[in-house]
Amino acid sequence: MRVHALLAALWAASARAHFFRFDSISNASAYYFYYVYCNIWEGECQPNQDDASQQVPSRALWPRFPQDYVRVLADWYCSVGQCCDSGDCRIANNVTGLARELRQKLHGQHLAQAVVLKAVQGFIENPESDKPLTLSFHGWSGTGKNFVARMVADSLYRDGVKSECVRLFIAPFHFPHLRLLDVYKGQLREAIRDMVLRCPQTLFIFDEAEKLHPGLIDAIKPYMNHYDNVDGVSYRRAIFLFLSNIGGAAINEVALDFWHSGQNREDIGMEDLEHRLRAEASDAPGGFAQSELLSGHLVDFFVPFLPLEYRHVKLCARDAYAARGLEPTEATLDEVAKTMLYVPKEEKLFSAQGCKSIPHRINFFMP
Amino acid sequence: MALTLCTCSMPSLLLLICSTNLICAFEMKSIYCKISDSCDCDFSPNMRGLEWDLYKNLYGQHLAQEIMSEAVSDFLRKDSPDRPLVLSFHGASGTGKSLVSSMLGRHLYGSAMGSPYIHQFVPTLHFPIPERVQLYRLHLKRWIEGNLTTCARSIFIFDEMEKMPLGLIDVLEPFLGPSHVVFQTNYRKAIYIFISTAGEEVINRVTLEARLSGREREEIRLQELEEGITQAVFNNTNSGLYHSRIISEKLITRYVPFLPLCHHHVERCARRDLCQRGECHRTDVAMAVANAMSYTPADGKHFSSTGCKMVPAKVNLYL
Repeated sequence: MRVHALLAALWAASARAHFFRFDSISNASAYYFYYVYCNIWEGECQPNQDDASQQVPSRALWPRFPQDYVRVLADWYCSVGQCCDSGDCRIANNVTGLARELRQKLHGQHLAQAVVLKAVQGFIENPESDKPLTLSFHGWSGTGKNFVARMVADSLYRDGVKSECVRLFIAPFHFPHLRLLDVYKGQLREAIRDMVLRCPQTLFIFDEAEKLHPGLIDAIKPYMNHYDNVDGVSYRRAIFLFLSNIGGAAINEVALDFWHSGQNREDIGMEDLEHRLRAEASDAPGGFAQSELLSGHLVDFFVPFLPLEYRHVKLCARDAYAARGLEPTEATLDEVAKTMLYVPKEEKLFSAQGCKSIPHRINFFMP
Repeated sequence: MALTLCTCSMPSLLLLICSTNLICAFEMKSIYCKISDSCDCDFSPNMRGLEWDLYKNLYGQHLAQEIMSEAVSDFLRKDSPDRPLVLSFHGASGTGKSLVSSMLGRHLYGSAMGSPYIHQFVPTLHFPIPERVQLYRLHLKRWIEGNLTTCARSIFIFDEMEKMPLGLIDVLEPFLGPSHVVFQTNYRKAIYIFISTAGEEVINRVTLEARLSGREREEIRLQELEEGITQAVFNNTNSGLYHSRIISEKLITRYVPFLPLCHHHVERCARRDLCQRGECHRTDVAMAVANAMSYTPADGKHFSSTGCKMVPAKVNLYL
């Protein structure tokens, strides 16, 4: 009898004052379960399970519980690394930082600066893109392709190139032997799938892409396509960068033509270059060209890197001195820039190696 | 003692009462659906939603819209159809083939490709090595049989048929016709979709002729294209269905051609993308994006060579 009365009283109390808070307890327990399952047990999780955008339910849990203890718990949890504004702490998505770096540190590439910034900004700010961002950087060596790739990695990810969300593949290093092509295909697929499972916004950089075998690119083509998910994993937030020398000759020709006709370098627009790049890229020998990537229209943007002139080499040299904390004179910069080799033979306009080896050359001209 | 008798017969009495009540029957079904994962519970065909989606989001494909709504509603109306629905999508890249197949999945099953009863096969991913065709045939047959047994209303999508190794798709022939038996299941309720770019020359040629002779795009009828597409697919070594019995035995229910897109269709694609981002008023961006695409043929420049594929990326650039 007494038990009945007590039960009735308790029921009445809970009905009126949400004393037990079952729903928030179940939220909290689900949250912690998924945290343990995804991060510690390393089960297969996709973004809706593994992101911390759902706040650590600290406030609703026990309102009478001392605030300090709850705060201590939240602080400990945040220090383990999961409570950032963007959800996943490994991803910083600092687009303003990227804009600043591109403006200050990249010299002579007005097209690359504009296109890369807009493409990356648009992709990050549009969470419902229907295919992964695929950029293809083309240009001579030393013009800044790796430099820009590194900038993108540093701005978008907390740990930069060493982040677990960034993976660099160098074609002649990671895939050297032709006869092991099938093995490489399997490995590459596994690697891509594993990384996207752990980190949906993974950045894949393929350096020296002109040396990739076409079969290898065809193997990963489905990941870059407009599919909702491929075998259960969604690749729509991934970013693929291909760096290559293909089309460098066409770009240099266009730049030279502009100079001959007296027009400004900054007037070169994408429409002058894009069609020629596509045409040359599909004719050039080598894997990247023969693959279906270009004709399948999976590359979002072809980013051209123009050859660097004398004044740009001087700016590179100034940056190199500034990195060492030195203030060079104009004369020193001129001397450093003069040591580079300039082509073509008559005009001597563009540096053959871009800005490569400048940091070492300044050793000769220390003030 | 009377109390225990009462308590024992209580639930059975309740059950008896419930089972005779219609509302209770509905409750039982929904309880059953919550517990089990039968695919009949997931299968919630929404023909109106599909037609609305096709009308609103697919631009420039009047043939595809008509054929899809007709064929799918006919098929779903029959509770026990006499053969499975086999659709073959043909057209240049970017014209909307994968979009239509995901629309179908979404309106039949609720979620486009996330449903476990929709299976998509991409040859470069699932059948990469041409020498292992026999192994792939075996796997494919077992996979389809297994999934048809679990769920009679499965959807199988074969994308990029032009990359399919020869002889692989013939293993499906028994499943597509009216005379095969798969134990314990009515396999004839399944839907098969083949997507390929084979036959695009025929389609582009007919569309170009129609445009040059001043005919309206909407006047192009399926009969003009069907013969050409069938010939192109049957005789093309690169089509996966080369000399396949699937075509010679007329197992394909409907051919769905996708016409190449014009400038104004690309503009509408761009405008839809802008509206999704909340920038509906920027018609200048839509115009710039449509102008930036590359158009074929070289003289005339009527049709976009990539369809609507590069539009979201270009919108990022011009916004």
